[in-house]
Amino acid sequence: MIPTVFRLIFRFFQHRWVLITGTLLVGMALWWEIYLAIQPTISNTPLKQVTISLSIWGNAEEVATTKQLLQQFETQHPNIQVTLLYTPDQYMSKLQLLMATNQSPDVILMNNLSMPLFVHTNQLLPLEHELSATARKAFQPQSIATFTLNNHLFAFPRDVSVLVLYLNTDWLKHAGLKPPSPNWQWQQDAIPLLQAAIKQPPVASKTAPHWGISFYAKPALFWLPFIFSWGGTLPQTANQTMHTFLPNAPAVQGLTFYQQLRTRYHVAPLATEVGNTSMTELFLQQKLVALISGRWVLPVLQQQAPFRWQILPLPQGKKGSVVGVDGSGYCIASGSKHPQQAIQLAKFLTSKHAQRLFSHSGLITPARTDVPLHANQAVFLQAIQTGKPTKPPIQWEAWQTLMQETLTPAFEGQNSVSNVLNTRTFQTQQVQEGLTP
Amino acid sequence: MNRFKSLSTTQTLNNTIPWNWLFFAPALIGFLAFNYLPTVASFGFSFCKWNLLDTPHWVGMGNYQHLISSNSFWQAVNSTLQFVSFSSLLELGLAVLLALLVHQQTAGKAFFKACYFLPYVTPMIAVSLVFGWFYHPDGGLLNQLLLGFGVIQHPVAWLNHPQTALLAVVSLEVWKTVGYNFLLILATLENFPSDWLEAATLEGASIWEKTFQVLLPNLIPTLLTVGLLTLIHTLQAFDAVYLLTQGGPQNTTAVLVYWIYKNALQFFHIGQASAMAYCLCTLIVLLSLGNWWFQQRRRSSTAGDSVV
Repeated sequence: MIPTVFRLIFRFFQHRWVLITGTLLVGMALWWEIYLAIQPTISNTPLKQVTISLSIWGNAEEVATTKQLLQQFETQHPNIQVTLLYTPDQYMSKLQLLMATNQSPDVILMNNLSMPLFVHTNQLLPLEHELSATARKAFQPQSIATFTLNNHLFAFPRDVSVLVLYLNTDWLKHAGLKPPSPNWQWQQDAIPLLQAAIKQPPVASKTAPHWGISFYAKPALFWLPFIFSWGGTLPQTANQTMHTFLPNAPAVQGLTFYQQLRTRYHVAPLATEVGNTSMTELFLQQKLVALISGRWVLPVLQQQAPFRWQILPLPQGKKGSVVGVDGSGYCIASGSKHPQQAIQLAKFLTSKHAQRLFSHSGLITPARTDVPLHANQAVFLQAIQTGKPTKPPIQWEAWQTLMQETLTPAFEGQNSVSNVLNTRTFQTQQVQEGLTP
Repeated sequence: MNRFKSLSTTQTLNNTIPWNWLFFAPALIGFLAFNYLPTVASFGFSFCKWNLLDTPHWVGMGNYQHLISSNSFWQAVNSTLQFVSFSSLLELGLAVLLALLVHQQTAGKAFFKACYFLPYVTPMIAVSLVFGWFYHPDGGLLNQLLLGFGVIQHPVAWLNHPQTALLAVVSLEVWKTVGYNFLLILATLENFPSDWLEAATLEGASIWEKTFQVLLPNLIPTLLTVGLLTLIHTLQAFDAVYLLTQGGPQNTTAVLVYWIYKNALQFFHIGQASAMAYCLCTLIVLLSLGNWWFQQRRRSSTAGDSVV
């Protein structure tokens, strides 16, 4: 049977016209294959459309800048369409819910404080291979460090965030006081200055209460500089994340000084005195001489402050002025269906051009070193250089809530910092919350 | 016509049952998907440790043990009990008082009904903004009034002081909910047989005697039901706390439902939140059973009396 079939085929191909036609067909097929392979580079027909999503939070100015950048990106990459998911409130909770339901955005704006949980649960792609050594040099080393966990980089850094001090210079002028030098110290310079300024408030309604400096029990980033500036540390495990807070003497000293801003020096308002009014509102209403805050408050003050103000680094504690260095950057979801396009977008959003757009009004302190700084940002840069990257616990929100609950009686003057941190209840609670390794 | 007449009752039922189920299905599916399934699932989660992103892992009674030894849980229970006691008593007491007053009224009844019921239909977010301003230490109406009359020397941050925050939240809850209870009680009073009151008047009963010996005893079944509804409602209070104090200061207003929300949707401790939810659920079921038992007992004793 089989030899008969071969014989028939052989006879068939003996005809010259069959051979010629066959050769032509094979040639055409080969040509078609080659054409298809190189088609994207030589054809004018549109490429396959890909839609990716970008998730962000931020104020109106940040959203407007992002939209402007997305338009430019889509013009440059006509085959990629970007859907913007804007979440103004409870961003991380909503993001976690999206991830839990397999609807994770492709590109995610993330801060370093919330990132460990997403890394721990394998929701983010490691990106160190996407950033060459040369490209890496364009970023502040501190910003790369904030997004590096277990030796992997998980975000293209967008900005670096540190705390600085905003000082109402009109108030000082009114009170006949000189603005301090950038190397000022808490005990020697800041406290006497604030106490003197409180006595001579500038606003017409002098009966309204006035204070020297802002005070927050939460978020933790407002009291972490007092731990660092007194030489205290947050214990870290092998994978460079802190899980628990075991009080060390300098940390307790730093927190005690922070508590004393309220209870001993009477320059910071108690929660019962200000109600739900935010510290920024109090500063704008000229009820606070100084406000400790981040870059996010800069545009607000530029637009709304009816007085002149100055940015200074935080006063020095026993070991200098050391603030936590944090930041936000663009991560790629491990479940992204178009990771290459997502990486393209993240790279575009952290390019020199994009960061210049974000930072020209002082909205962000750029993570890149090759972007010119806004006039007000020199102090931020100084604080970044003397600061240290915060290495948050995996459950940042639960950790800082526990710390707030524990420290509040001390911050309200009902107990000492060392007492509240040494209680067995606090230590037990840390274990129960799963904050210990 | 004859053909239909010849069908037996069983056959007719058999023919109609599939249609019944078809019409019933959307509601049933909705209830199953959004009520019963999550209820059963959360019972399972209460024995697991899960943060939504990892796979849940079994911890047995670990979450319940955690609750029992957790300070914050007991503080939440304490806050809830205080909140429920104050709110329920005030909501019920004020509702009875207002209903009795309006019931006696001859003119403007509709106006008062509308006035008292209006807060109930006002959005909580709007109410909380007004109350936030009312209690604000800087220019809040309450402080202005008390300072003006010399009751206080310095403004008080009512919502930020551990001793006043809970009462401030209770006041919002009472103001908003009392109208609903008032309407239920008033409806009972309106349907009350007028000849009983007339008979009491002929017997020479005073207004107090008519109120306490005729009206109120006959209101008890309604009061028990309204009381139970109020208890369940206040045990599940969340929005007033969330909008006014966020559980603060020092967790004095962190009631159980707020803690469930915080654990589930802020910390993503789904297991602990589910365990807490089941503790609350058990409490509500026990209260409901207690109420049912009390009503049954009362009914049987009343029936006994009437036989005698």
